[in-house]
Amino acid sequence: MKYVDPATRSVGGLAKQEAHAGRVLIAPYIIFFLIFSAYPLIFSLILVFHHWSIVGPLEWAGLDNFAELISDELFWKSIVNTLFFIAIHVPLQVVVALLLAAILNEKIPARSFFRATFFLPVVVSGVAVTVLWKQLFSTDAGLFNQVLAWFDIARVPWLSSPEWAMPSIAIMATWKNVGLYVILFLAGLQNVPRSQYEAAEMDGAGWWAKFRHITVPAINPVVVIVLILSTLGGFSLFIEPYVLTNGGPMNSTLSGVLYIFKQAFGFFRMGYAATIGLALAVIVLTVVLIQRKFVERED
Amino acid sequence: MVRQRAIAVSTCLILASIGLVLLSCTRSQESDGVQLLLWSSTNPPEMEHARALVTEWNLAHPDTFVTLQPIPEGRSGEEVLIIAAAGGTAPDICTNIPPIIAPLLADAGSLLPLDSINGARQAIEARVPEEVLATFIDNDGLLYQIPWKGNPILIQYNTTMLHDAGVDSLPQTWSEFAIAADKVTVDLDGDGAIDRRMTLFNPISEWRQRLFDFYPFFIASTGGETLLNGTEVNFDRLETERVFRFFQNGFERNWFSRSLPVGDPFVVGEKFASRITGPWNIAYTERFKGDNFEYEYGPIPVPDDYVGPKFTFGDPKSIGIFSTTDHPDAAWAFVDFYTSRSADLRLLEITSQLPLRRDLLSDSLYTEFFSQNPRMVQFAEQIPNTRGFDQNPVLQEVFDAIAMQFDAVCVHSRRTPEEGVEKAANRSRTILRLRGNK
Repeated sequence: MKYVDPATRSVGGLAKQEAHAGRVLIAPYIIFFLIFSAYPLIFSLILVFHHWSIVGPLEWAGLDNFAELISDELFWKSIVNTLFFIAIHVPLQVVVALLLAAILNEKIPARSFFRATFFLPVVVSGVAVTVLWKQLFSTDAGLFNQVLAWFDIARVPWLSSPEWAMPSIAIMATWKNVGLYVILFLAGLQNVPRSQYEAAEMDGAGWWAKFRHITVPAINPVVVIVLILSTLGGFSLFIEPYVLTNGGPMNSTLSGVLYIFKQAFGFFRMGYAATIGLALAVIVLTVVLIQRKFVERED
Repeated sequence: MVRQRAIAVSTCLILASIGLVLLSCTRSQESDGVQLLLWSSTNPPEMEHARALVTEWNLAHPDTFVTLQPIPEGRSGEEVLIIAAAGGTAPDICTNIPPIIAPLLADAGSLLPLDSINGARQAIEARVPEEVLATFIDNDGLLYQIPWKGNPILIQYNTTMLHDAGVDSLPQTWSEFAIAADKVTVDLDGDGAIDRRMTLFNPISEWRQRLFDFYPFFIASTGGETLLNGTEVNFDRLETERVFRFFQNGFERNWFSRSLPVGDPFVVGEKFASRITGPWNIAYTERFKGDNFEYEYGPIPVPDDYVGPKFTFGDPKSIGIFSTTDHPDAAWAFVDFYTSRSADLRLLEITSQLPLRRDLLSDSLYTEFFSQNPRMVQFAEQIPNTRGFDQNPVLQEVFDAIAMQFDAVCVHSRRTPEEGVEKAANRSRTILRLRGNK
């Protein structure tokens, strides 16, 4: 009989056991990934070369969907709309979240209450919040216009004007998500050494000077994270225009994702919707790569 | 005490188990015969109507058991039906098929051609007015849907408000409408906001809403034309430009609102002198109107030079038998019962919706109903002069092309009606060329 070193045998057995346990433990994620990520991704890549109305069979389309995409004014409008939304929403989000975090970092009365309050919209259902804002934005009877009327300011067609609709949605989206970024900024602010503020105070620096010269540089990495996250959030804009305006007026709030949804579940054009999705993914990837480069440079 | 409670709980569990066993036995007995699954609209009156008919059917036909289910929840009925057909979970029969999606389902082979069932087409032709039935026939000449009910779209006027504004008769033409609208539309308190407008339309950019503003006016002003003629665009015409101009004028002069007010601004809020609606609205109005709220229904106003019968959109709904059914003859037998004279009387009584039946006003069975519900007579009289949808799988996209231009031309005055109609027609031609010529 061949001699086997017990020590080697036990180590090998343990490694095998560990590998087996590892495979078992990772299996749920792999299964989940294959069903909900890999399969849809592969299927959508197949779809871009087909026409498919869900009920009928797949019909080979070659590059038809891509040709249509390039000449589709609505697709390009939806991309411009999404970028316009991001251009308003992201700076607004960063500024408001940073200011609120700075205030909540001070020793103000009922600080915990305010922290919870600002976070509340993040966890409330997006549709419920949007329906509420729809009433606030109402031109004739909305609260915002009633307040403006007290100051003799003309009524604003918040959602019924092509010029105002997207900025209004950006305001609403900022309110909805700002709590999340306040938390991130608060975490960053609490890591700023107290001694730096004390030294600045001894030099006679006021609140603004401290904020500008100490706080902002110290939390720059958090700012970058917030920028990336809110940009990605901006590209997935859907619920707000879907509930508030359905992409109107005059397609001024038609976002990329809403356009995908309309093509897929409004007109049952799955192949074309998948093509828009692919194009949007490429655009998002490009933006993220640019931002990543920016982050690396910051580091 | 604890022991007694334990015994009581055990007894309940045993009884529940016996109940389940008996129930399963009942089901297994039922499964010996034909089983049909019926989907009905979820709105309470229609469910009540369906429940009554299914109960009656099951009592009279123990060998063909029908199970009733409401259409599953979804963003729209169209979406749910298409996904169900694709997923193989479609019922045997659905009583609420929007005719606009029937061609898509028919093309995919999801709906059974009724011509394949002995006697079905003849029975449908005997029931439905000829001119109405024509709009349900597919481009291949076959009939895939049973035209079931319609809701002719008319204009409901708050006559108390009209009288207060100095308008004594309901507008029949665009000029009369304009005169009335100018009188009604007013800023009562001088704060710069319009407090009273002529007609409530939903201006949201959604093609479905155009079924309740543009489309009835288009049908009325063209004397019953629809958007397509086979696979050709039929709306690139002067009448369409004139309809666009009518609405553009209305939005510019504040007869209509660019934003949809909160709540019910017509019956409850009384901020509008009229709204576009169907017969289902009578029961609602009677329930919620104020003491001084008087109302009448009028036809869709037509251009001043229009001569001929008053047409409108019929908002029809169909019944469909899905091709996945194992029992097409039994399914047809049930649908035949569901659209019978007595069933149609129940439809009237329970839902206040009108069966698409050619003898509706002459059949003595319905005389009592109409004498007790005189407001329904006007809608019933309108039925033969209604139009539904062209049978083309890309019709929704055509409507969407028009809706986009309606938004730009009428609601926001950013384009001329001529430009809008041309753009909508060009886009529709492209859509039809690429996907609508099957």
